[in-house]
Amino acid sequence: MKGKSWGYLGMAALTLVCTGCWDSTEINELGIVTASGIELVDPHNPHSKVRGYVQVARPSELSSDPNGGGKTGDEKSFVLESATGETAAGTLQKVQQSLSRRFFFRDRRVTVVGEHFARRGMTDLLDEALRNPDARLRSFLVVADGCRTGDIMRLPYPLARLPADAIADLEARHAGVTINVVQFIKAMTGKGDPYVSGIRIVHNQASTQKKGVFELADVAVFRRDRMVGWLRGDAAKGFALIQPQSHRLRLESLAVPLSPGRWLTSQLIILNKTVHLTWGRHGPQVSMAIEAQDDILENNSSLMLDRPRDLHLAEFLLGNTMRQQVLAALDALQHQYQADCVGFGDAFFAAYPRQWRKVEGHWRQVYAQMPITVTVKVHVVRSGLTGDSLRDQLTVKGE
Amino acid sequence: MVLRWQGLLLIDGEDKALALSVSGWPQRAVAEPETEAVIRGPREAFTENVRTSTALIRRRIHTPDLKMESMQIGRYTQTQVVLCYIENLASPNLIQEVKQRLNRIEIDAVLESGYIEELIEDTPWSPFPQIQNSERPDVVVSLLLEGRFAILTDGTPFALVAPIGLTGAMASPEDYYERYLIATMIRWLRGVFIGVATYLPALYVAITTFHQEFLPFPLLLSIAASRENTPYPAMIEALIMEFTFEAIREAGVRMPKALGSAISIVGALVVGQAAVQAGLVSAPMVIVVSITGIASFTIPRFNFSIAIRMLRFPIIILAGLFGIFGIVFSAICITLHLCNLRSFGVPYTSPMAPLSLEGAKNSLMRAPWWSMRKRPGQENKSNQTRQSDATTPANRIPGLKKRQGGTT
Repeated sequence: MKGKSWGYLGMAALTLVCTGCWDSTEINELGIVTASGIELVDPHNPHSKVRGYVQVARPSELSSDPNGGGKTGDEKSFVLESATGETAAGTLQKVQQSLSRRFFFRDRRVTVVGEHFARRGMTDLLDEALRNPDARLRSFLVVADGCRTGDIMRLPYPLARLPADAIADLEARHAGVTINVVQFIKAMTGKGDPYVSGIRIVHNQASTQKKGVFELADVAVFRRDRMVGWLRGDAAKGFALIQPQSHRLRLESLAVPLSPGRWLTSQLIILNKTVHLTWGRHGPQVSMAIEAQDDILENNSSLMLDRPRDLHLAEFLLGNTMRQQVLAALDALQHQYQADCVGFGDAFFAAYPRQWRKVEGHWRQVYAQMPITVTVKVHVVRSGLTGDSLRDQLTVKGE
Repeated sequence: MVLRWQGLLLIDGEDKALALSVSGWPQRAVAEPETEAVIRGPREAFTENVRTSTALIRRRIHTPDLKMESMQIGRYTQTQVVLCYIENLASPNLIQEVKQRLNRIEIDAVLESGYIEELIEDTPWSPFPQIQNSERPDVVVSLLLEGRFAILTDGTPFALVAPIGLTGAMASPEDYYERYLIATMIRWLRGVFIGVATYLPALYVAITTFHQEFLPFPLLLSIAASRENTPYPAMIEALIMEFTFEAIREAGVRMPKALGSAISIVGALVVGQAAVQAGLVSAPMVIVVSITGIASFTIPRFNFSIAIRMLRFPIIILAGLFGIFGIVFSAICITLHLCNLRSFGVPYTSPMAPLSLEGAKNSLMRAPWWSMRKRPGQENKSNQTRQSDATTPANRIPGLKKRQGGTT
């Protein structure tokens, strides 16, 4: 009995010299990947090799020193490495071989995709993101617009410790369209088509960043996994109002000219979208009702916003402008790209499964012909402390 | 008799003598309890003289049911040991069992109640204490009034009380003197910090070596930044820091009081700041160890907190070897062990398992006095009611009864 218990004790003591589970990795042996990127080596040759980028955080540069905390906008806070290869996953493995630390993909916040790579097809990249158990599926996707992927990933952001943080924060603000890997794959494998927000570099004379800063703008339209084109300007704004996640849209501002040089600007607070589907004798029909609550940001027009009549006029004008934007987006999607990014296909399949089967093979043609009616109703919630514009108040005084 | 410091009065013509307890020796006066501090509550403590201790108890309970049975234990010391209980509240089987266990003791000397505790407890191999010790007469009396027994030992101010359970470790005498809402909150706080004291360093080790994805991204970066230059793996670092902390604590207890401030300077400056600045340990580890240390101080009963302190080390090793799996494994082992423990036949985990709502009022929370009408965890079922319902709010506040439709 006594010998036995000594045996147990000895066994317990021996565990101290064991190295433990092979999964064990100290945090300082990890290369924390904050963003990855992919592009074609030769943009004009769709069969060219791909170049992968990996942005790895440098914790030693990020440590908060006792007097002030970590610096933002520092180029030294991350390491950008790239490699070329045949596939997206292959390039990542190549980069890994040249780095001493093991990649830690669980906090990859953003994947930047080159435009020409996106036009060639995203499956290669997405398969890696989906299959890799380490990678997180909620990392955002963006398409580089008018620049190389590497240029964006090299750029430090002045107000964030890591540029990937900045992109993720921009996405999380929901000021435009936002999509992550899971949502993209869902849309792609469903009856609809995915979309991705564009990212581009803005050079600004007044800016303190001489190399420019990036901004999220415009929408890349996909048909299945291939990018087919951009929604720009009004169409992009309109698409933000009808995208599947439009209820999360915030901070969207809208300026309406009333007469030359006199503007009414509003900011969106809450957006409510109801889609009504019918399948009549002439095929599917959609009527879409958008209800928005707005704040008035500025009023240089002659409208007296404390009068109900003028307020209704302002609401009508705002609603009309939004409707034009939505129509521009739908026009481009239906006729130019024939891409169902709003997700009508999924909705029809859910509501009219039997009729859907008949058109499933030629849904794109049906979709292109499908009549869509849009009504927009705007409620101005806060029009501000004063009614008419400040300029008009001055004219009354005769100055 | 004469050897027990008693004078004999022999009277001519009588065949019996009177034994007179005329002995007296230098002794300490009744002082404040030093181990169980309270803000509100009596400030008397037992002394080394067992007769003073019995007097302090007797002063608080005026009933002929309070029984005190003296016996001498120790071949050479003949230490006086007094078994104290309230008849009709304590179960006769329990008293018989404890008497039997006391009679079984044959030892040279009993210098402290700890000797007796180890000789009569149910599971001698357990790190957890199964008998409570206290130097406060009010604690002993309150436990006696719940049907438990106390053992007073001459030569030490610490009385033993049993049977007790796990939840007793979370109770401080002040809980019963302070308002019940606050007492309940503080009791839960202690429960949380018992968990922190046991598992926090192990969790930190497991998460930083195996499960980095548990950490939010900014925290991951901060921890990664601070661990950048540390030479040892997290497990070794945790063990070193915990050992050092235990050493500082031990030194603080053992050192002469005049040197007390030196230990805090050495502890705070050298172990805390200098070690981090020199890059020997990471700053988060120092924070984790300090929080753990503070958490272990919140446990009111010292003998329970040293059990937790000791268990921390194997748990850290398991966490360093197997990650969360190791922690869960250790948690299961500890839970199984606790469920297996008994204190004089009463399950250690009561009133949680076996569940008793009446007991929960007094352990998981501190119910207001007017709602604790029965004695908690009492084995003797013949006399369970502690008070009438005359003071419940329904009977006390005019008009409340009518509004509630006459229910109490």
